[in-house]
Amino acid sequence: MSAQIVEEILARLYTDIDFFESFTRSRKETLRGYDLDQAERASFDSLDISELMLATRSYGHKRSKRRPHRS
Amino acid sequence: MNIFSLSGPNFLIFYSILCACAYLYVKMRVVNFEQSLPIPKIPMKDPYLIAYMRGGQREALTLATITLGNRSFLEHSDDNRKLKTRSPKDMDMVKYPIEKAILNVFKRKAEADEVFTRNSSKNACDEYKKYVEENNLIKNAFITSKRLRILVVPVIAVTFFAVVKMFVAISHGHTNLEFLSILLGATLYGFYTIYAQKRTQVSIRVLRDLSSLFSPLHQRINSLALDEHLYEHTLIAAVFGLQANTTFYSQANYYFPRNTESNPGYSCSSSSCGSSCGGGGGCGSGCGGCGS
Amino acid sequence: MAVVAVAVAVAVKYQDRFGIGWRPEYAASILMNADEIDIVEVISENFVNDKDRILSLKTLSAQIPITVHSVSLGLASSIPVKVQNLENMARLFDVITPDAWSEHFAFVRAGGYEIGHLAAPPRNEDTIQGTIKNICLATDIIGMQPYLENIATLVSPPCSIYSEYQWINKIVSASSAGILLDLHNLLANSYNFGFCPKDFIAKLELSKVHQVHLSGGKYIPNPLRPDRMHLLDDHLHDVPKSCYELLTFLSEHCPNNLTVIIERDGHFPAYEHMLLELRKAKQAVQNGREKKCIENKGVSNLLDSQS
Repeated sequence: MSAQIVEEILARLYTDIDFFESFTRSRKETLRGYDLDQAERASFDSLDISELMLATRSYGHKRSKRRPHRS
Repeated sequence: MNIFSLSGPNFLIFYSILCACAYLYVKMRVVNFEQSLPIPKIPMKDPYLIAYMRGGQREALTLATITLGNRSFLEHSDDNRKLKTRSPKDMDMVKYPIEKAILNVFKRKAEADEVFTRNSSKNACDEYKKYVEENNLIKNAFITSKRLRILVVPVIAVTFFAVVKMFVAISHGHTNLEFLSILLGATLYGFYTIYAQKRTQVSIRVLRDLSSLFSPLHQRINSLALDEHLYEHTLIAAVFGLQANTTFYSQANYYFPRNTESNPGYSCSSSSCGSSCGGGGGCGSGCGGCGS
Repeated sequence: MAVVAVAVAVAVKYQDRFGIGWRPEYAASILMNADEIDIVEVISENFVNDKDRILSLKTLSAQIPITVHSVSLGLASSIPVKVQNLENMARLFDVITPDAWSEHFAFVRAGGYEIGHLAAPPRNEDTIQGTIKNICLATDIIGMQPYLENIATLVSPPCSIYSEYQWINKIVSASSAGILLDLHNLLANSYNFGFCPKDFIAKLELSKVHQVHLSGGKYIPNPLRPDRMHLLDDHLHDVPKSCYELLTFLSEHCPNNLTVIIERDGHFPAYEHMLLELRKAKQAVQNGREKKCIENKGVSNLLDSQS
C-alpha cells in the first residue's frame, strides 16, 4: 500500500540522518528503491527542504530530551 | 478416613496447612473487601489530616508544631525544649483548629511534649478522627463488623479442629499437645492482628498513591527553599513521614526525642517509600508540543 | 439587567469546564486547590508502564475528574495501530473511568522507524480509511471512543489531496471519534502555511468539537531562508492573546459544552499564573457564548416581531 510507504519514508527522513542528507542531495536517487507512483514522487520532489530540516531537527531534539523510563 | 485419627505429626502437618490457608483466606477477603471501598476526596489543603492518616494524633501534632515553629509562630529557647507562642494575636492568623490549639497550649512557655498531653490539642484532632472514621480510613464500626463476619467461620474451624484433636489425644492418653496449642495460638493471634489493624486498606492505598503522585516533588524537596515552599515541605512530611524532610526531622528529633525513637509514624508508610518513578524517570513529561 | 440575564442564560445552557495538564511540578498546588479547577489531563504514557502509578490514578480521580491524553498510539495512519499499545492503555481503564481520553491526528512510527513524536501523515483516502479502522479498534479495546487532536506541523505532508480541515471532517464524520481542537496548533499551522484560522474553525465539523487545548510557543527562523519565520508549538510559553481570541470565536459557534485544558511542559511559572491563564480562558469562552446568546435573542426578537 503506497500510503504506508509514504509514511515510512517520512518516518525515515525524520529519524535517519544519513537518509535525510542523501535526500537533500538527490531525492530521485534516495527514493529509487521505494515503490511510489509518479504523483507521489512529484510530491516528494516539491517538499520544502527547509521545512523538512526544521522538522527533522525538532524531532531529533524531542527524542534526545525524552527521559528514560525506570523499570 | 477420620482426620482426627491421624497420628500426631501427620495431624500437625494437616493442621499447619489448614491454619496457613485459613489465615491467607481471611487476609485476602479483608484486603479485597477494603480495597473495593470508595476512595474519599481528601481535603488536601490540610496536610495535618494526611499526617493523621499516616501516624495518628501524635504525627499530626508533631508536624503542626514543627510547621508553626518554621512560620515563627512558636519561639523556642536554645537551651531547652520549651516552646512559647510568639503573640496571642497569632491565634487569629492561623487557619486550622489544630494550629490554634497548639498556639493555645504554648501561650505560656512549656515543654514541647505537653502538646501531646493537653486536652485542648488532643481534642483539636477530633475532626480528623471523625473524617477518617467516616471515610473508612481507619477501623470503625462498619469495618469491624465486616472483619468479624469474615473471621467467624475460619476462627471456628481452626479452633474446632484443634479442640477436637486435643480431646481425642487426651482420651488416648496423649498429653504432648504443645505444638498443637502453639499453632492454634499463633493462628488466632494472626487473626487478631488482621481484626485489630487500625489502618484500613483504603488508607494504605491512599497513602501509597499520594506517595506515587508526589514522588517527583519528594525527590526535589531539599532543593526548594523552606520559607518560599513551606506548604510543599509540610505536605511531603505528611505524605512520606517527617524523616522525608531533613529539616523537619532534625527539629522533631530535638523537640520530641522520645517520639523519634518509638513512634512508628516516623517510619515510612507501610507502602513503599517513594514510587518506582524517579525524578528522571520519564514521569510527568508532557505532550511536549504537538507536532514538530 | 440584560447583561446579567445573558450571563445567566449562558451559565444555564453551557457546562464548560476548565483545567490544566497534570505535571509533577504542579501536583501539590493542583490537589491543594482542587476546587479551583474542574479537571486535569494526565499523559497516559507517564502511567501505563508502572502498576503503582496506574493505581495512583484511582486516588487522583477521586480528588478531581481526569481526562487521559495519549501521545504514542499513532492512530492517524494507514498503518494499523499496535494492539499491544491499545491493551496497555486499556489497563488504565480497568482502574479508573476517566471523563474522556484523547489522541492525535498523527502517526508516530512507520516501517520500523520510531519518530518519537507526533508527525502529520499524508491527508488522503488511505490515511482516512486507516484512521477510521484504528479508531474503531481503539474504541473496542479501550471501551471508550477518543477525541483526536489536530497537531502542529512544520512540514506540509506530501501526497496530500485534502486540506487539514477537510481531512479531519472526513475522519470524524465516518467514525465515533470527536475532536480536541488545539488552538495554538491551529495558530501555528495557519501562520506557517498561510491560511485564516477562523476560516478553519468555521469549516470544521464543530458538532464534533468537545475539548480544547491552549498552549504557547515561539517563533524560530527558517534555517535556509532567514526572511521566513515559523511558529513552533513548544508548550513552554504563555498562551498568546490570539489563542484566546480564537477561543472566543470557537465558543460563539460551537454547540457543545467545552472542556478547555491549558498545557505547559516546561519553564513552569508559579501556579497562580496558570490559574490566571485559566481565568482568561473562562472569560474568553464566556464572551463567545454571550455573543451567541445575544445574536440568538436578536433573531428570536425579529421573528417574534414579524409573527
